[in-house]
Amino acid sequence: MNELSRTEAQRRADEIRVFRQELERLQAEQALTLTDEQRQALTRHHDALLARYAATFDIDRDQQSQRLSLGMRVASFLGAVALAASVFFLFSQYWGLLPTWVQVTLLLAASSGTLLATFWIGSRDPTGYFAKLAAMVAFACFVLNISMLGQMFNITPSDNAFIVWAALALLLAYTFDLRLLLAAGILCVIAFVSARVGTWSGVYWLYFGERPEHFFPAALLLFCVPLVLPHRRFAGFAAMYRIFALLTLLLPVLVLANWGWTSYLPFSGAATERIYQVLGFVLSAGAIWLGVRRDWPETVNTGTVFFVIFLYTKFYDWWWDIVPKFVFFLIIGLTAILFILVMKRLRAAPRAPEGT
Amino acid sequence: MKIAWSNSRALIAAAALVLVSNVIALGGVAYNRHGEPESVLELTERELPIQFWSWPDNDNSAVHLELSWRIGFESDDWSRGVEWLTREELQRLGFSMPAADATPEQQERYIGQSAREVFLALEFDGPAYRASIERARKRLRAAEMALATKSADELVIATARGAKAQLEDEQRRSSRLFVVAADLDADVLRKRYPDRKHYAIVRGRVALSNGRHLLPRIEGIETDTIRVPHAYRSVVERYLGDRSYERHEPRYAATVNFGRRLEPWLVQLSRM
Repeated sequence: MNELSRTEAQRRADEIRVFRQELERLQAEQALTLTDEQRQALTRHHDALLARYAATFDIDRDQQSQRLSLGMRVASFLGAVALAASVFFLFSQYWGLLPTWVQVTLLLAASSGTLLATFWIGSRDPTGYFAKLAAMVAFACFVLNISMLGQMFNITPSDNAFIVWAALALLLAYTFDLRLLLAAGILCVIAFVSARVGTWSGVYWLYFGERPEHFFPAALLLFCVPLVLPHRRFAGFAAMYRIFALLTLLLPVLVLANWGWTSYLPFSGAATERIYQVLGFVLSAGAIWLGVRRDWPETVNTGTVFFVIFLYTKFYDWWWDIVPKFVFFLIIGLTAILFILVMKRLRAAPRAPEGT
Repeated sequence: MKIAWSNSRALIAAAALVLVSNVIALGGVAYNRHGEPESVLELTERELPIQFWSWPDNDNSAVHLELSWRIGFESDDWSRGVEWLTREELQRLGFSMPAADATPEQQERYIGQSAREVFLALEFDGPAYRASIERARKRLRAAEMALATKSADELVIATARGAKAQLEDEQRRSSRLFVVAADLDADVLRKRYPDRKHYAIVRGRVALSNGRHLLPRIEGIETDTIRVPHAYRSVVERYLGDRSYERHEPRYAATVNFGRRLEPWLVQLSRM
């Protein structure tokens, strides 16, 4: 990995572009005046920086380039999905026609070959698009490797597969700055931790989803990761951990707020639902507060979405059958206005410095 | 000690991960198949029909056989679930059971318990199968007695015909593999059923169906599909296109070993 990552270089290039625009405005408003010498030195310095970044990282120099890059990222993602599907169907179509030793060799070769290819491409591709595509194919080949060995030799299904898949996904995600693989790795971690918690409770591991409370330890773990390990060089990674942590926490709470009989709590279904409904409000409001305090917009947004879901679910339970429909939706609308006013006040409140 | 991370170190770590994962998986297979098998069953197509994938249908070239197992019932009343999974057995397997006089509201707490992983005893061509044949014979005798007194009754005729077909099916086409016991300890089951040629100990799941009463059932066996090795593919290849549900006389015989990890594999497959 370069000392400066592509993400950091792109961020600096965007800041330089914004700085130049603001500098022009300040000079037009006569709030700041630079001498010709100062202006030329500044321009030379910035141009040299941008040229170096463009040569090393192939960054986007302007908004048009950014839009094209977005298109390239979408194409890269679709290409990776298509290639992974192609590998899967290739194996599936010809598998049964090959002797066992050939099958094992092919599986190993596919996993290790795509892995080597990924790192080789990465060393020659400053943009990272091709390396990212190759990394996703390498991950797909590894998933196929382990799952097909299981099918071939009738191995008892186990949750251990999730942890090795997670390990490779996270390794490739951090090496190639790939959020899609980070998401895949996080999902595997969630599945593994939840399945383990389930087996400790005596539940068959594959049914960990039947008891939503199995997901709570995984949610806590994910939330702690960016607190313990700083992710300054990996744009968006900390936010991904927090988003998945909140989803892993609040979706099960939402389920338990409506289907309390799936809970471990020793109360009746109705009582459990009431407990989790209150908890849902508290946790989502807590996420909004924390997100505003720590300047984590993804936390604020996720907390807001769930707060609204919990609120509107309760409104539906209380009033849908007993008030006219126009009154029901009027209440919804007025609540939204109240919500905007509250968020406005929260936005004006003092916050922690950026970058934490 | 702080380790400076680089792409080459990442590559070494990733390659080691892939290699170690494969070694562990294949090592487990070798361990399972090492030494004397835990049990050996000589089955036929009755107990190992070809598994037909619903999707991707024609694109999956691998062939699997599926363990076809049954549960024996003392009576024809299947509404009580697996009869030998009594209330005490279920508690021993880890299920929480309500008191016999619990109110419906109290019973609600016990609904939705997840399936438990247990060890199951699979009996091949044993007392459970013979009891099943005996029940079919009893039904046929009862139907023939009714036919003797009401020989013109269409329903009675149809019942007698059905009972005869059922007995024949039981004797020649139905699976002879029955799940007869469950326990949390495989060794306990093996002590109870020491005959390794007629009893296989496998991993499975017991669950409770939700209804007016909590009904016990065997939810499934962990490794109930067995891949046909390439060497034996030609034995069953000709039958892959046969998608009819009509049962027929068995066309092939198979020897299935169960290893140390109770995972099965096919050691012999031949046409009958």
